[in-house]
Amino acid sequence: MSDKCERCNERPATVHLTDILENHEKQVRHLCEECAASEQDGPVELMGMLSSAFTPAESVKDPSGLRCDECGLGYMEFRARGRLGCPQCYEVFRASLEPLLEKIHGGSQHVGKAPDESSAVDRSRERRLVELRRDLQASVREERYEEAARLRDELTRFEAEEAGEASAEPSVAAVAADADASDATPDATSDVGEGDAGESGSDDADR
Amino acid sequence: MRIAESFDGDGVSGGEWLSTRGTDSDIVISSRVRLARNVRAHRFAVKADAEQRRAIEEELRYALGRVDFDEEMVYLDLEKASPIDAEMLVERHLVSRELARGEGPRAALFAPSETVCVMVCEEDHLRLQVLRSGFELDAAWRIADDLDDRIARRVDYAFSSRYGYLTCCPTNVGTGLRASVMLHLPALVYSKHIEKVFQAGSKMNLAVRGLYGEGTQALGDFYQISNQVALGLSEADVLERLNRVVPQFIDYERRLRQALLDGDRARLEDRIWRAYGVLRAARTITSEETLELLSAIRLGVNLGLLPSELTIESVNELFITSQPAHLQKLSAGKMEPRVRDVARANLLRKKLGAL
Repeated sequence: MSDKCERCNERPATVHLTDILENHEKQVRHLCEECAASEQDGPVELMGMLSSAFTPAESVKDPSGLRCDECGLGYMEFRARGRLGCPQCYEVFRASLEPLLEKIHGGSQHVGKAPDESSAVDRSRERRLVELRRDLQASVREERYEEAARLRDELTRFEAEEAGEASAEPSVAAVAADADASDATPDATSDVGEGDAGESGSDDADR
Repeated sequence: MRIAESFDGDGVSGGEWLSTRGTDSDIVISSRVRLARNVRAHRFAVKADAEQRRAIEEELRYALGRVDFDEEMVYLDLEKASPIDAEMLVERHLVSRELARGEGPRAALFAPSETVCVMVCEEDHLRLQVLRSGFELDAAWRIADDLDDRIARRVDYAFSSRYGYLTCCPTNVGTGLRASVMLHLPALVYSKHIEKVFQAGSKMNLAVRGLYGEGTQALGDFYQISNQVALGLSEADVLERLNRVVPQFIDYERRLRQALLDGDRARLEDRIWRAYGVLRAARTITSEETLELLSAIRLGVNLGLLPSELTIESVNELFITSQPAHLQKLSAGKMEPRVRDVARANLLRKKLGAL
């Protein structure tokens, strides 16, 4: 992209900030990462948290050169905007993210819902991990320490296994193909439109 | 699923949530549950270029078309819809301003009853919302949870066992849940106690916002209370916290209403009747003034101080239909603010019975 940063007029503009003005008009500014990072008028609340969460003491290695190879988001741009670019960013920026998540939520691990067994892709292992963590949290809260210790060991073992297999995770298509068409729920009253005629199984080609 | 390019919900009535069927609906207008979800294989909207955004929207349109919903849903293509139609959805609290005023491929999928709406290609790929009349957070959650399961059969969500549902903004990651209630708190405002709601909210880690969500003013004495934490707490914990705190605000408002009646009834009645008088007599009126006066009337109806033929439901409706986009839709065209103020006064006189 040949567009130059509006502020320094030197480096290429890779950050596109949209400001909502008082009168609800939108203003888009095109900046380079360095200038964007020095902007003070971003979403104030989050910016404050970001700058304090990113104190050098908390990130031993300098993260400023980090970049997500999936979406191209750079660390400085993430810092300027407080937004991530894609699911993979959560892994790429993990070291800086965790203290930030702690600060925002008071926790950095999920204990809520996970996609159930009917979901488009099998998530049973991920679900099991979240369940273990939730049970652990509950047993600590209710002072059932023996059970907590057992759950903690199981969780550690499970996480280690997960880490070992992380690289083997298949890359799946965004939308589940028609893999589940045959076991569709019986009450699926198909509101058949023109496009749906082939749903019963003739479009297997894309599997 | 029916694909539409214009919003033809009749301009007069609003969604089911405007009814007064829910619990505590004298004070709690509505309960809302929102879930933020993204598709695993795609970039978040902020990092997606025009072509990628189109691909995401098309994929989601196809996937959502195959989800088994309870009602026939309308998929409103907001790239093609008129700005007035998009703004009407904001006024009805179906979509955010960001989605309505955004650019490029984006859509709103909603049920005709307006209890369910899915925003497509907002900050997150999908934002599921369930809206219920009154204080009904648990019921709203059950519907949202079920809707989420149904969509998950067709869409491979970005989910990690460590961080939960991955979202564009780290404030939403985890459950992706924002549960909120919209409260009408005129007595707290009149008695200058509203600051206490803000203080109590922040102590409990709950956000207090204005009528249209983040960064908006508390017009018409309406306040939204919602959770701020999405990670490290389960959905049940989040709802439990709100279910514990909100009744205290409701109780506080009720006691102050009674105190106003006991303390200086004449002054309270005067305030309410003047509001009623202005709304039935004005020849031109802004939407801000309308919200303020309708708030007084709503309080008057709840306290039985106004004629009984005036119902809360009809007042709730006026809050929506007197808004700019609704007025313009009714008159079938764009109107300058000055013309709108005249049209608004006409509508109010007609609905409330002219003096």
